[in-house]
Amino acid sequence: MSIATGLETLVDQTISVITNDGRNIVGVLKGFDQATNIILDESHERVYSTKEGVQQLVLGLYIIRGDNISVVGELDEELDAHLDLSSLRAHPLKPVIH
Amino acid sequence: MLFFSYFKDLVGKEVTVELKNDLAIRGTLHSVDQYLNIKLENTRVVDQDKYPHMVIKLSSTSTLQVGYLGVQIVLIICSKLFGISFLTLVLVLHQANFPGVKLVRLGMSRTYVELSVRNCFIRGSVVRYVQLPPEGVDVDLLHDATRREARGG
Repeated sequence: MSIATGLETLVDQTISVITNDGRNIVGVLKGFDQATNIILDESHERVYSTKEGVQQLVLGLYIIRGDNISVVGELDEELDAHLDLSSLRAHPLKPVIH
Repeated sequence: MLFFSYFKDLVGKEVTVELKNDLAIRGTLHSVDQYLNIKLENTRVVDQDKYPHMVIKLSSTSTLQVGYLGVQIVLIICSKLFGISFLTLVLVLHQANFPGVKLVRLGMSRTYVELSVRNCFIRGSVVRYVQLPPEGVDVDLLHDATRREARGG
């Protein structure tokens, strides 16, 4: 197997998860397994809409089942901190259709 | 296993991964595993205006050309807040006829985009297409390999 295929490099880092139903959850990766089930700490959901800026809903400690995960992105915390989420508008992501 | 080893050979190449939610992400293929989960580096979203979900930072930059004691300096101002306060300072100094300060030219503001997600892991099950670089496709080689696999190794 090739180098660092899993999510081990992202453990204890802030990540942004896009789920199959199009939700975006941001939190600190605490653990994962071979099915991409993940444990997120201090997580919050970012709700996108065209009418108002991005809303952040606090979720806390979350476990997401791997089946429901589309993308896991490493978040550049410094850049992310400078984001003006209140002025960011976008259509919510479409759900994954298999 | 054929496609797994095929994708392993593509590591380091630039690919576009289209997801089953219509999101398309372009980046350098970092690694792939047995489930065809894909890790990309230096990612960018193909249609960034429509999908800022990978988090885009929009900042406007303005160029400001200021003369001070006959020397002209071009300043590029990135941060909105800093830019405005600095511009005000220059204008105030200019208005007050502060010796030597002269506003030469204020450039148009530009927007540039930065992505705060640079590396990402894409679950194999949500991949619809992987768009490959043409030089990464050796049709004859794949042809033989698929035949061999179909024959049972």
